[in-house]
Amino acid sequence: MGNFHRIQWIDGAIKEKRYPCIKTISEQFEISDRQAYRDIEYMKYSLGAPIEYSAKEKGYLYTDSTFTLPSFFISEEEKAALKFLSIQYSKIKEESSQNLARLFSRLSGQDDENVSQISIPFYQFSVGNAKNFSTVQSAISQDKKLDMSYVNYQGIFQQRTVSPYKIFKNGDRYYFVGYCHLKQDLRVFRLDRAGSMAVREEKRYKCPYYDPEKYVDDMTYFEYIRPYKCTIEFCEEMDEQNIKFKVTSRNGKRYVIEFFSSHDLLGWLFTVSSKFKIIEPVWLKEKLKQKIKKIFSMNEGEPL
Amino acid sequence: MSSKVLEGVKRVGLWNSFMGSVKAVLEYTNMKNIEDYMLMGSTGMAFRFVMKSNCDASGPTVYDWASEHFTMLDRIGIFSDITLLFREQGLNTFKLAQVSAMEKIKKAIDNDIPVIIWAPSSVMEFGIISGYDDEQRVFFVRDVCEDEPDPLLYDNLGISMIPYLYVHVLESCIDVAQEKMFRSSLVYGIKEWNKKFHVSSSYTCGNAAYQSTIDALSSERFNDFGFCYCMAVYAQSKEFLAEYIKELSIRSKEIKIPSKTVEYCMDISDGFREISMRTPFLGPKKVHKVDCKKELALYLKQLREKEEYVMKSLEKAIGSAN
Repeated sequence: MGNFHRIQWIDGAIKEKRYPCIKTISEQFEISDRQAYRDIEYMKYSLGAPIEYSAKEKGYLYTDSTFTLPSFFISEEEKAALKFLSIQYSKIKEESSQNLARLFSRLSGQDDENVSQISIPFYQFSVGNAKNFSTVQSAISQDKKLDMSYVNYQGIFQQRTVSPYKIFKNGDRYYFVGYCHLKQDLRVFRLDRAGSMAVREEKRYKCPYYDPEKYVDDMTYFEYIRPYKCTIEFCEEMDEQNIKFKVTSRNGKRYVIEFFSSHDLLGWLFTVSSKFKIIEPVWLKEKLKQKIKKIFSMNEGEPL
Repeated sequence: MSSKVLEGVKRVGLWNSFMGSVKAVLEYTNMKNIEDYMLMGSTGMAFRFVMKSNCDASGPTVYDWASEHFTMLDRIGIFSDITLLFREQGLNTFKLAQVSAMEKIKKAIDNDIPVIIWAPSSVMEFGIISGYDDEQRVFFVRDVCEDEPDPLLYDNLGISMIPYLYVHVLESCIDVAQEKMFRSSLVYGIKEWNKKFHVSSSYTCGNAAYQSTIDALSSERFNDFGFCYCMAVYAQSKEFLAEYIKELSIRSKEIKIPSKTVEYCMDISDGFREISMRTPFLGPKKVHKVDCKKELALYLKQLREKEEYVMKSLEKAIGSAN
């Protein structure tokens, strides 16, 4: 049952002098005490209701009996949509967009800032998307996993559990990156391809090779392609948690690692160990040799 | 299992990555000896000026690649073979198209012809395949950014953020009469200048692209990154165009181009160069914030008036030559 119905009930109960309290509200609607508090706070701060707790009556009353509820209400789904819009507009630096961001934020019950007269630029969005946006964001902020139904690019429907890390946009679409527990790897999900979503009461898995820098709004190096694979032999034991790339298999000190850029991989190898050997592929060995040759020739004759 | 690398294929050296790739292939194969400005001008590429309504970076590469590229190269006597496919999601035969394209690429490399493709590296530009290795399942590539970019995995051919499988092999070259080539390029340029509709309503071409850019400069949706990139690309195009028109005014026996037209072309080139220097493109990961937008809009308005004069003058010159 939505909060609209509950707030109407509370309003009616106060006007009929039944002095509803948190317990009566939570029992009436089978909701938590916390949710009942939130409804009272929403009435007080977002709807401007003159609502106060009366110790004498052991329940809530209006200090101004002329108060009436506003003629329109914002449902939970609509609030999620407004929250989504406020975040979206906050990313645009122009003043009118910032004003819109504040307005949507206030309407969603997050903020209480004043809003000036504004012009409204057009932007398309779906309410379903907005709800999912809000759910993913909640999971991230609560450090929880997420259960969702998802249709992949081939049109195949699957139920997935994901440890979400970050929401980002690319062009007109929103995505989020997370560790997919079904695929046991990092995956990028399109928000509009997700169906039902729910936060799972389980702490998120921390993927060692997740790099937030790779998932930035509108960056062109967003990875659509298959990664390169290489086999590296280290002379000492490596802690897999410190390997910033995906390790697909391991045989003793030999690791099969996936990567997208030789520049990133070789740079990292130099920072973690000077004693390593690239077993394959040949082109990567050649790159390493060229890099070393370049460094050597740059430093040739120079005092250390 | 075989492999072959064409040693000495140069990197893509022009802001217009398609023509930069063509130039590198022509040089490597000795198919045709042609200056950069002549290549850009006589193919018609230097005349192209396409902008998106918000000035994002897509403008210079949004057109019908297959037919435009074929015709442009045909204009200078180059016959080429083009494969173009947009990798729509759920495409059933993409893998087969990929295999077929791989075979075509390897055959060209075996015949000592580097191959032009879309996005050989993470940079969304045209580039070149200069070799292959079946054992490692990679193509060796050249792009606009690095001297030695990472190779392209066979599996990633045609897969990128803008997923076009574009494979272009320059097959052979015949002579084309100089006057015909000049005339054809000018006719194309004038047509582009007067074009009322380009691909979709958010893109404009030629004269209309100037207006769209001027409007974008006062819009909230203005894209700083894209504007700087487009100005860098078009500054070089306008420079080549000015050189081409100047050369044409000297070399053509049939088309008489007035000296004022050549002079205006130089002014346009200088103007774009100045805009580009004031709004520098800082690479794929940095954005220069464009200021003095009103001044830039005014400047572009003046340049548009000059280019309008140039195009009318060229139209007259072709008409008189008939």
